[in-house]
Amino acid sequence: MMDDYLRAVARSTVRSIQVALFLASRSIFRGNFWIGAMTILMMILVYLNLLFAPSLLQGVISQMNSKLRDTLVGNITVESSTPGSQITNSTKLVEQIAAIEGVEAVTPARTISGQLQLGSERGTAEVSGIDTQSFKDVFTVPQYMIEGSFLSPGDTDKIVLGAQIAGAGKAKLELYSDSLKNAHTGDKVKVSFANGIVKEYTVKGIFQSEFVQADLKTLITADEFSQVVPNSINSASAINVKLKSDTNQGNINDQISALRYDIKTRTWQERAGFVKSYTESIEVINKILRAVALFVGFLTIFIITYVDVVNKKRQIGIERAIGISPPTIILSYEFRALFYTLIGAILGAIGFILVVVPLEARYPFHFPLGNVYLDVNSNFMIRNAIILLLVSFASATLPAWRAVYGKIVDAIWGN
Amino acid sequence: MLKAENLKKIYHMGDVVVPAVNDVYLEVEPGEMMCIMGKSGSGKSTLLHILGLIDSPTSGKVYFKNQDVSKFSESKRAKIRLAQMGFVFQEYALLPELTALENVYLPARMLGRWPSEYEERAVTLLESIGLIERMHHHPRELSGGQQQRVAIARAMVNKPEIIFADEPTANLDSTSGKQVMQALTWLNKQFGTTILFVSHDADDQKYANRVVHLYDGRLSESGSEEYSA
Repeated sequence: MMDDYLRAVARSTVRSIQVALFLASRSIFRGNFWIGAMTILMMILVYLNLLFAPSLLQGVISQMNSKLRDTLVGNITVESSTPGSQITNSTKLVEQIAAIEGVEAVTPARTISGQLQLGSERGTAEVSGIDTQSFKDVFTVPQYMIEGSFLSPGDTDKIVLGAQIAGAGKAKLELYSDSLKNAHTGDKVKVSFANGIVKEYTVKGIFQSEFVQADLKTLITADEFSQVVPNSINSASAINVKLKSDTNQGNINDQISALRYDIKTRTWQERAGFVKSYTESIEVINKILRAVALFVGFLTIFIITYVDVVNKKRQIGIERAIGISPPTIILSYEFRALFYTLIGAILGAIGFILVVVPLEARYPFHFPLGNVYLDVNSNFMIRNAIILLLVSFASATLPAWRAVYGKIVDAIWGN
Repeated sequence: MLKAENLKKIYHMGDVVVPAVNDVYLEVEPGEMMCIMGKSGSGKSTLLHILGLIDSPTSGKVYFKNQDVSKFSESKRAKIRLAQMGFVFQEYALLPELTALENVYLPARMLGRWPSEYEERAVTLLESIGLIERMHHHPRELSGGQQQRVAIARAMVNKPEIIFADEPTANLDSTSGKQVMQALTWLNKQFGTTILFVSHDADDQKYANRVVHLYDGRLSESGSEEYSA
């Protein structure tokens, strides 16, 4: 008995879907061409709107995160578990970390704060003693040289300055007023280290990664550092680790932590600090923009369907009078909305991939942290298309529902 | 087959109460071709809509095949309209985006018949009313009379027991009107389909084998012979 009932319901549902598809297809392909074309155009714009701003903001977030990783902290930072202490026997630890599957490069660094002086201008900076070769493997800083060249192994009496500390004559820099203002390659800079040693260095190069925190750095070689801070060989203030892409960061983090009891590890997310609060704010803006774009999509389909059902009130009345059920009529409007949205999303996606993304890549937006590119992937595009389809389905339902549940006679007479 | 008891339909226009249908008793027998005559505004279309289950009475009952259908849900009424009733409206109520053939077979699709079955029946019906040549044309490409005949074929596609026709000749010239009435008469005679039509044109009475008159919502009955020319 129940089986028969369910079978009858299933048959009736299939029938409704078939008739709704029939009515929708005839209306789409035999209705007013320009109304259909304009509806699709609107949906293309809605979909592009749904993709463009969020992927641009996602590009900003990605750029911030990659700058943080590539110029400042790497994927994982290893430090001594005792605050203010150095990691001892760092050479062996670096070798152990480098041997872990998934680790691409490892670089140790010693740091000491110092005050730099160029003529009457002074600036405070953290001076890092680096292993130039492994530093290049972990960080992209050497790629951002705006003057001179990067450090070479064995360089002594030479220093590389970040643009925010050098100033380099760039008055528009965020921290220009606290910088040396006009330091350039070849200039002699006096550095007063925190341990009391004062030494003069020749500026070998200046880098500007456009990431303020990285551009505050001052670099000397590890050999030079060991002259300033005796007994610094085989010890490190921090070890920065770069991972291969598609590696499980948490797993490697655990493996590094297990190497020694006297170290602690932090992922780049844990060190994100202010970057994290920036990205969180951007993500909120991103969500708001997406909600607005979806609302515009909702309104577009709602208005188009509303106008359509008002114009076809009599037709709907006739359909009902001859026995077409209200759910079937509603479904036909929903299918129509889905069709326009699907075509709009497909054309919008093609336009986005073939026109917008390449165009933006050619003429990228320049943000304070550098050029920002649209960060988009197929999952993001498919997810947004599905959301837009659901929204258009819902927005077509409301006016269609209202139209089919009035009095048939009123609809036929156009009241 | 169809019975109305104490049927009332009252419209409220501001403070004024307008009884469109007032205490109507009516019984329609199977195979009848009945005409409801009346002047414009007499309530004949309202009565037809109530009997055809596309409108509800303010009070009273409608029995269809001995079942009180006046309180049925819209979903049940839609099923009855689809499977057992056919409708012809005065303004050739065809769906403009469908061809003549598609307009005819749409109710059959809704009823779940197989495509081969409903297409064949629709073609046969269009052939029988002389429109086979025009079956792939859209309503805008057909004359008023042709559209009305397509509407008759659509009303017949599910083999209904009764067809309701609301002033089917009202917007037609006399030749087309005659063709439409002849088509309805043919259905009545050929298939025994009960036909209930309303008209304000005295000429249409001759097609009916029973005529009732509606004056200000009240019914009075007379034999068709009385009105024959």
